[in-house]
Amino acid sequence: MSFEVKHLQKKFGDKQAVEDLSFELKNPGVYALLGTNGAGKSTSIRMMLGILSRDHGEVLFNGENFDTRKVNVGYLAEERGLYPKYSLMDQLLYFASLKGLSTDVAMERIKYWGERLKVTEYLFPERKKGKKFKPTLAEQLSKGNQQKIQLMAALISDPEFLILDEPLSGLDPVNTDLFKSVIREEIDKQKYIIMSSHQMPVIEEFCEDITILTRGKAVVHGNLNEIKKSYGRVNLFVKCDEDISDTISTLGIKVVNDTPAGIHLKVKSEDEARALLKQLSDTNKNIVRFELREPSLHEIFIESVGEGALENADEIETGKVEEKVSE
Amino acid sequence: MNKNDFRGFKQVFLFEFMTGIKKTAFKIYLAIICAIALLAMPIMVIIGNIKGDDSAKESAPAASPIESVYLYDETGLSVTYEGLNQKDEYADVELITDSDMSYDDAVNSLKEATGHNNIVIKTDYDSEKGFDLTIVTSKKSGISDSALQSFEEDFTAYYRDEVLRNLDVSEEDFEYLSKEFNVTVMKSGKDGSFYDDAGSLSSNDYLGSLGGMMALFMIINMAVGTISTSVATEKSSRVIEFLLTGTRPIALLSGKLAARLLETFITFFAGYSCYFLSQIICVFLMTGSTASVEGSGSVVTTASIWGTVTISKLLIAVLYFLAGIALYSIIGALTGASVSKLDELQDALKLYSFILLVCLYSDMFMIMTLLFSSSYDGIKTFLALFPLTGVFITPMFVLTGKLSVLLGLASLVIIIITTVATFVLASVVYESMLLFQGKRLKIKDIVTLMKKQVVE
Repeated sequence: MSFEVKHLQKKFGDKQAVEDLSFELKNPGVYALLGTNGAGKSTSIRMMLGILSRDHGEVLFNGENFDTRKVNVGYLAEERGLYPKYSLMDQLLYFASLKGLSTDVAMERIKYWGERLKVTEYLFPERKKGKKFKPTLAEQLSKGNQQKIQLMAALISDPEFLILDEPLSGLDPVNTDLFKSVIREEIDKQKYIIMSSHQMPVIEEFCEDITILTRGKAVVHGNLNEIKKSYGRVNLFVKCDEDISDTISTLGIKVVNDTPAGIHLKVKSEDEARALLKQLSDTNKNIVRFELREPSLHEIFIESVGEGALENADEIETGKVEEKVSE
Repeated sequence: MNKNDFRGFKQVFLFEFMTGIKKTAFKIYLAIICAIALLAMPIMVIIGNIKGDDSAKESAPAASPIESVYLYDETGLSVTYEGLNQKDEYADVELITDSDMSYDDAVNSLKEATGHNNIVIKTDYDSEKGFDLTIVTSKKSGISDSALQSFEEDFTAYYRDEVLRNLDVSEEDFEYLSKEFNVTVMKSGKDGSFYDDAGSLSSNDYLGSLGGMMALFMIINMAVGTISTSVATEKSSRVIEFLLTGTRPIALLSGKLAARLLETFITFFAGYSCYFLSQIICVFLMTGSTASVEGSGSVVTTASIWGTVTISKLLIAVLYFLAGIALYSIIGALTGASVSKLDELQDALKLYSFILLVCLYSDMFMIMTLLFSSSYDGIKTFLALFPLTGVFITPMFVLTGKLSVLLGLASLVIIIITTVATFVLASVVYESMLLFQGKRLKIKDIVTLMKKQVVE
């Protein structure tokens, strides 16, 4: 099984929302789509799902055109949505029926996920004697609990392909852990998952392969470990009891950040780091920390998208549909 | 557009229908429709009965103030007037048939006979004009207008019976011969076929059409309100993103439409059932009571509208009605899709409301003018053929025979084509509109989208 995106393109007016996006998921696992706001992540996801028409390119699942009406897909959209005035149970049963589930199967799964996500009390409110039964409406739930119901809707059909657009945004630490455990379960079930998030540690925790988008263009893509290796171990973190700024300046090493926790240096090569270590050792400096490592995803992300992309992100996001209409 | 595009239609339809009928607004609306249909007629009958009882109570014990009636019968029939004295109110009235005075003298004597409540009656027969009954009284007499009118009615009825007795005609024969002639003028149209030139509207048809238009207006408003709110809610709550992963916009739109049509059918059926029940209640209310003419007349008035109905007419009217609801509902769905926030919906619905009111008022104006004249055939035909105005007027015109079956059929074909075309065009832009988030789309934006996508 494989999922393949080939040369996906989308233009809104003069703005290129997505430009020649290609990637492939050969094995089950999590693929990350990263980018600033307005970089084209959601547009790409919508095109993959067939919600939005694409100007060019194709999306293949097992070599055939990816059709969400034929493949069991679960989608947790960035723009969460529930009918505010309708009961939770009615909505979940409706979403389940749209995925082809019978009422009995849907009820079983609602019970399971209700317990798993700790929302049973809202899905099956207590019936009080002598009082008219009132089901819980979506608008009565907190944002976090609404997000849980959303995740239930995405998982209720036990999808073989899952798209999670910012699944952890706005969650408290307890619920973040709960969501992470659910995602881990889905990975263990050998699901194909595409995840978009701004939380880089989460991506590093789950994803092996990534694509970083900026202004609709993939600037970095491939295996995360390979990408990191390609950058080399150029991040050096040093902490000594004594002041070592003279030694650093003598060697001409670039200081990224100087904090009480230590100095973050950017070396040109591992030899430069070794030279610094030798100097410190020769001058009998008391070394508390000396750590040479690959760049973090966060650093790769910042370096890839550049500050200009961050400034323009919102402009692209808000302008796109109006451009479409005026086109 | 293929079969696969409609995947999820059934689920959307069931969800929309079930949530629609669970809404308090729908329940209240249905209750109002049923209450009006069930109670309006019986209340009118009850009021009529009360009025009838009151007038019966008022008139029963009072003896007529008339003292003497001088009768001059020049018809040549042998009429006996003593029977009039058998009525309680006329028991003391002196009926003089053999007066020495001539008719003219008797009339002149009324001028002088102040303080006497006398009447002079002359009956005559003219071979061209028929029976002439001349009743003469004096202003100086103490006979009130109402007493005189009452006497006139009773005397005319009594005299008619006496004429029938003289001619040896039974009451049944008389009723049979007295039936009105219904005249239908058939004119040939341009296509060579004949159609019923029913001319202007009767007051019964006018009232029926007006009532029907108001009911249609309510039903259409309800359907449009529900569908536009539903679409706007899906957009503003962003549920639409989720729905579109496995369902095409066309399936969403058609599912919603079907749900609204079924709701409308249920409302119509419930309303008509209540109306039918009210007719039975009216019959019970009128049986064995002194039901007034006004009360029973109201029942007959409404019922008479159905007198000209045939299966073909009914079929055309019902199909037209459903197509009309669908057409307006599609406009409602597009209106809902043009906004990103639920708060903006009322503002967006202004244009729809304007169109709806213009169409409704045009139809009402037509109905009113038809009450007085039948010389507006061109406008009438245009309003019936134009889908947006035809919704209110064509089913009524077809049912009441004001529009020929052929023209009704033509109107039906036009509205079906319009509805299907609107549906196809709507489904083309619907997807883009559903995903649109931002300022409310104006008509020109929608047209731009439509042009772009249809051309592509």
